[in-house]
Formats: sequence, C-alpha cells, structure tokens
Amino acid sequence: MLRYALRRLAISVLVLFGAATVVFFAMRAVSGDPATAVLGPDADQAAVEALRREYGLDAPLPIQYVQFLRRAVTLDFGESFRLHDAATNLVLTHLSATAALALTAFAIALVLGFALGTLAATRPNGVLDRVVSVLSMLTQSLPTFWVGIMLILVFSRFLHLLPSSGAASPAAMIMPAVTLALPLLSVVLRLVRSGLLDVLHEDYVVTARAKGLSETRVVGWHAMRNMLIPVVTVAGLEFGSLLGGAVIVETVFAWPGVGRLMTDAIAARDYSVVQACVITVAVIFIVINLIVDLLYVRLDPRVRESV
Amino acid sequence: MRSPTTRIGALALAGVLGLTACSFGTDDRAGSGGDGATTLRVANPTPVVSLNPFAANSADQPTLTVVQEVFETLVVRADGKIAPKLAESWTNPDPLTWQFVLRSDVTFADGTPLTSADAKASLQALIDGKGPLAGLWATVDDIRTPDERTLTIHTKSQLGTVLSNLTLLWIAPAAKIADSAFFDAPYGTGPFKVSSFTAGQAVSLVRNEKYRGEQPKLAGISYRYIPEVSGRVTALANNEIDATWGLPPDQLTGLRGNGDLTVTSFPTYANYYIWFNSSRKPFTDARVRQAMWHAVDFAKINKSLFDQAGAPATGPLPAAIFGSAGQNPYAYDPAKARQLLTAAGYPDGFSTTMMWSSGCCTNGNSFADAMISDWAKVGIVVKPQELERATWLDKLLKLDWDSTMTTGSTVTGDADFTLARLYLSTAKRNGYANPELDRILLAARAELDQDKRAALYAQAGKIVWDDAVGIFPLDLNGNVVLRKGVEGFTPTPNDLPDFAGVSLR
Repeated sequence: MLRYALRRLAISVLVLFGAATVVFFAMRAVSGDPATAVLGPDADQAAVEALRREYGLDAPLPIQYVQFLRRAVTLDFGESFRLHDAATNLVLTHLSATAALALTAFAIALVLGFALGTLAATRPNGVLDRVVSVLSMLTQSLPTFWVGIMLILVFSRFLHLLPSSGAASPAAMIMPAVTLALPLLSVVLRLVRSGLLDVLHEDYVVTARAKGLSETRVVGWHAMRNMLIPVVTVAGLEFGSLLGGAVIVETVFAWPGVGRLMTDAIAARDYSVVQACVITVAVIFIVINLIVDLLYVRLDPRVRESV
Repeated sequence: MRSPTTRIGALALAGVLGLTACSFGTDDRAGSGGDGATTLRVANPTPVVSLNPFAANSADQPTLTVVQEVFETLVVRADGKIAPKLAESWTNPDPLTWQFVLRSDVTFADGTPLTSADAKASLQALIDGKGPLAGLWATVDDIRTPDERTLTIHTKSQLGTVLSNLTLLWIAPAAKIADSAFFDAPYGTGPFKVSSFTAGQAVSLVRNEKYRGEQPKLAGISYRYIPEVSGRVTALANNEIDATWGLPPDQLTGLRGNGDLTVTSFPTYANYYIWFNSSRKPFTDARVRQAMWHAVDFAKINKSLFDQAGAPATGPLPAAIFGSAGQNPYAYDPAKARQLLTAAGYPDGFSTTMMWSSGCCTNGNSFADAMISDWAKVGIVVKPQELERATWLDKLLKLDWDSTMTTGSTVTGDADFTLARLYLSTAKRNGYANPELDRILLAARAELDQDKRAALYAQAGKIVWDDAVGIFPLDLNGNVVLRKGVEGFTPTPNDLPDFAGVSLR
C-alpha cells in the first residue's frame, strides 16, 4: 500500500513538472508582449524595456525557464505585472472563493444526485424516474453560461429573490453553485440510478431481502456499497471539470475566484499569475486523482488485494 | 405507501435546500457619516487594477474614475475652460516658466497641510513613473518650490499644454508618494479617501472628514467590477447597485423604458476611427484612403447601429475637445470612390485586411461587417481580423497591419494629447509622415496663446481629415444609468463619472 502510494506520488511530480513546462512555453508562444500589454501603446519605449528587465523578460528563454522552475519549487511565481502583488498571494486569495463555490457545487451534485438517483431507481419507469431522466438530460446538455443567465433572469430579475452577482452574502452563492453543480448532478444521478438498477437484481440483494432486512438497509447499505466505485471515479474526475466550469460561472456571476483571475491574466499576458493559477489547478487535479485512487483501495477489496 | 428510500431521498433534498436557502439582503450600505447618509453602490464596466495615478495606469478610465474622488489637481477643465482648483493663480514670468500659487487652506486627509513640495513630488513621480502621461512633460527640465505656496515649472522649450496637462496631475502627499503600499489605500485632498481596495475587483471610499469644502452627501462610494453587461444591467434593475455606465446602445433602449432608472447620454472626448497604414501599399496613396471613406454609407450605418450612442463626426477630434474644428464632410459616393481608385491605379479594387481587438468598440463587429459590405461594392475586399487585445497591440505597434478599427479618448480634453501623440511622424503609429503636419503640431504645442493654439489645431485637423489618415465616422456618447433616487449627477465629457456631488434619496 505504501509503495503504491509512493509510486503514485512520483508520477504526480512528473505530471506537475509537465504542466509547469507546458504553461511556461505556451504563454510565451502566444503573441503579445506583457510589458506592452501592461503599459499600453503610449508608453515610452525605455519604460517598456525597464519593465521587461525588472521582470526578467529580457533574459534568454532557457534561462527564464530555469529561473521559473527554481522559484516555483519554493512557491514563488513572481509578481503580477498587472495587479502589483505576488502571484502566489493573488491565487491563494482567489482560491478560497473558487474552493467555496466548487465544494458547494460538489456537495449539491452528490447529495441531490444520490437522492434523486436512488428515488428513480426504486421506481424504474415511474413518473419520477421519467421526469428525473429528462431533467438530467437537459441539465447536462444545456451550456453553463446560458443556465446561469436564465437563473439570474428568473430569480434576480423577475422574482427578486437572489442577488445577481458578487459574493457579498451567503445567498449570492446559491445560483453560481447550482449552475456549476447541474452538469455533475446529472452525471451522478444517472450513475447512481443505473448502478442501483444493476445491483438490485443481484442474488445478494435478493438474499438480503430474504433475510428480512428493511428496504432502507438493503438499498442504503448492501446495494449502495457496490455501485459506489464508478460513482467515486467519475465524481473525482468531474471535480476537475467543475474547476473548468468555474471559469465560466465566475464570469457570469462576477464571482471573485481563480477562474476570473486566470482569464483576466491571460488577456493581459500576466505570465506569473497564469503560471501560478495553472500550477495550482494542476496540483488540485493531481491531489484529487490521488484521493480517488486511494479511495478505490478502500472501497474495493479486489483492488486492495492487488496492491 | 411511501417506501423508505423515498423518505431518504426526500430528507436529503430538504437538507440541501435548507442549507442553501440562507437569507439574502445583508445591508452593505449603512453609512459612517452618522447623519443617515448612505453609500452609493456602483459597478464599473472595466476593472480598477491600480490606484496609483503616476504610473502605468495613469490614463486608464477605471483608475481615473476613482482617483478623481480622492485626489485633486492644480487646475481643472470646466465647460471647456481651465479653472483654478488647488492652484489659485498662475503666471508666465517668461515663456519657459510657469509659476503657480497654491491655496493656503488645503490639508490632506491625514491633517498635514498641502505645500508646493507635494505638487513638485507629484509631478516628479508622474515623470519618473514613465506611464502614458509622462510624455506630456518631456520638455520639463526643472521644478522648483521657492516657498511653501509657490511652484515653478521650467521647460526646455515652450510648452503651451501645461494647463491641460495639469488637469491630470493628481497631487499626493510628498512623504507618501514613494511608498507603493500607500496606493493600496491612498488619500489626498479630495472629498473621499480609500478605505479598502482589492485590485481587479472592488474599491470602497469613505468621506474625507478633513475635506475643506462641504462634506459630500454620500457616506461613501463602493465600486465593484461586474464583467458581464447582462450582470450589470440585472444588478441595477434588481437594486443591487445604484449606478453603472458604459453600456452598449442595444441595452439602453430597454432601460429607458424602466421607470426605476434614469438613462443619461452625453457627448464625450472619445471617438471611433479606422486607420490606414499609410506606409503600406495601397494606402500609401491618399486617393485610396479617400476612396475607402467615400465608399461607405456612414449616415445609414450610424442610424441603424448607433442610434443614440454617438453623433456623426465633424472632424478627427470630437467637438467637445479644445482645438477641434469642423471639417468638410465626405459624402457617400461609390462612383467617386471608384474614380479615385482608378486614378490611383486600382480600377478593379484590391484585397486587404482590417484588424481590431475584441471588445474594443461599441457594436464593433456589426460596424466592421457593415463597412466591409460597402467596400465590397466598389471592389475592395476587406478581410476582418478580430484579435485579442495583446496580440492586436503587438501588431499595431509593429505597424504590421493594413487597417485597424478602434476607439480612443483624448483624456486631457486638449487636441495636443491626440494629434501630437498619434500623428507626428516620429510617433510611428500609423505610417503617416507629413512634415507640414509635424511643423503645425509642434508650433501648436509651443504656443502659449491658447486662441492661436486652437487655430493651429484646426489646421492640423484639416490635414488629418482631408488626407484621410483614417476614417472618422462617429463621436461617441457616454452613458450613465442611475436608479431613481440618485440625484445631482452631472455628466462630464471626459466620461469619468464623478459621484462626489450626488445624493441618495
């Protein structure tokens, strides 16, 4: 088990190194000079040169790359050209907003997904099952930004129930979190439903029922445990796309998170912030994958045996 | 009968709904004034990334919008004329020297009195900051403070734009100016001071209790950045903000019908223009550039795209700017366009490109489409290139383009800012080089007599217009949308909404 974890960790470090390299060179491959982007077209050429020197952009690319890696190891990504603050600080302050949003969305998707999926599975082809199926198809296929705008229209513009943007009150979290949760919710829901339907016909479920166990115990314990593995895998992987979706949701709802920080930074060629954001997101991805892998071991005795 | 699983599901559902249904409507407007005054909540269309008025962002609209409530200038431009502010009078002992006498009753928000040393330090900071406004002061060679109330600015050569330039020189305390942390929550001599600032997101201002004038009726102003137009409009309609500005014209039509809102439109210092790269064929020939202008039916396009968003341009600078002058309009005349093209050696037209940066311009994409379809009618095939701003900027400065569409503002309200910055042959901004134009622009800059200066800019404007360095189709209107109850707002042509005199009912 320990060896397994260590090997996974070593691969993670490699992945992280790859992500850092790709973002470093990708940002520099795109045209547009950061010093000019910050100072604008009317800046004095000497000022542009001075800024390039100040941020080490005048050095040859390989040297910049080595510098970047060396500093990145100590979590120093340099200073933002645009916001005049350490990139690491900026990412950390914005990360809490994104984390709050993503975790809330994740919780909504899991809880509602399990609840509705279970309800649908216990009455296959019932009214509820059909309604839930249609809704889950819809929520997965509708574009996130459109859903966000529609929610704003209905709940802010017409009903005046919720604030349309910002993060000033807890209520401001509801619409962005729901918007972000919907695609994942429908995935979880369908996995839970089909997983439960599969196992509910298994012999051991019949046995459990025959033993006279209550339906709650049969479904909630015996059946549930066996359909958890695919759900955990997908939910873990989807947490990554949740972070991707956050970029759009944060723009629609003016939510002050990492997604918005990153899009603004890309537009301004703010290298240090883009690099810090991408590497942070990569770390989150890697950690989640690790957790998923380790959870497997916990959930599935067959995997536990093999490692 | 309900099955137990149904009950589990229902419970879970109720739990989630209960969790998320927290109360909404925390009142963030309670004032600090103690007199029932409230804070005005506004949403800016572009983010405030810095509050330092001396460096890279010194000409940025979002930065200036906030800075003007916190700092003051020596002089201001009011109704097109220069008026005293922190300086009570000024003289020219000789044509190279400007002497200003400061008011004696001014203190900064921390209680220290304003002295000429603060003015000197501020000007020095702007010059040393090497931002977009530093170039305005390139000829300054000495700044002196003979006494606490006198500031003298000496220039190497005559500089007729000193007063206009001073309208963007914000006076900050000399002791703090070198401290970059000061600009995280700066204060000056203006009616408000900054209480909190998160770069790129939000700024909060509160009253400056030491302000020498009448205290503002507002307890403060809170600015926040809402990137999406629909988000800002909804926040306004939903009473989450009291004001916003810079909305696209298609949104205004709907808002005018909303009884809770007041829409104000007003002329600004900003205009639309399409430049040709005069150093690149076929635009090296003025007749080709003029043909491009005659080929487009701007009257029709303006009417359909820019209903109340602007007025047809009368010259290369909007009418509200000092030194602007009306020029002979270009008629929509495709036949004449063809003649000019034939004369220039392009009887069958030619192929070219037009670039712009996405989001640069009000209704930009539709405007480009409309022009391109008119150009096609005279045989000119124009390929549109919508680029990301950083890429566009890169190509622009390298003169690596055929034509470009953009909007620009003359932030000082003085023709020199735009004409000398963009059209001197040394500026190398559009490939146009004309020694006669250079001579006029430099003479205008050196002229201390403001009437003569204005006459020279009228001549310069005529050359830029008649030679069709670019097409100048439209002077842009600004707009501010306020909720009913916001009173006393007066728009200014610099399009920096000033809320200091506003009250909230």
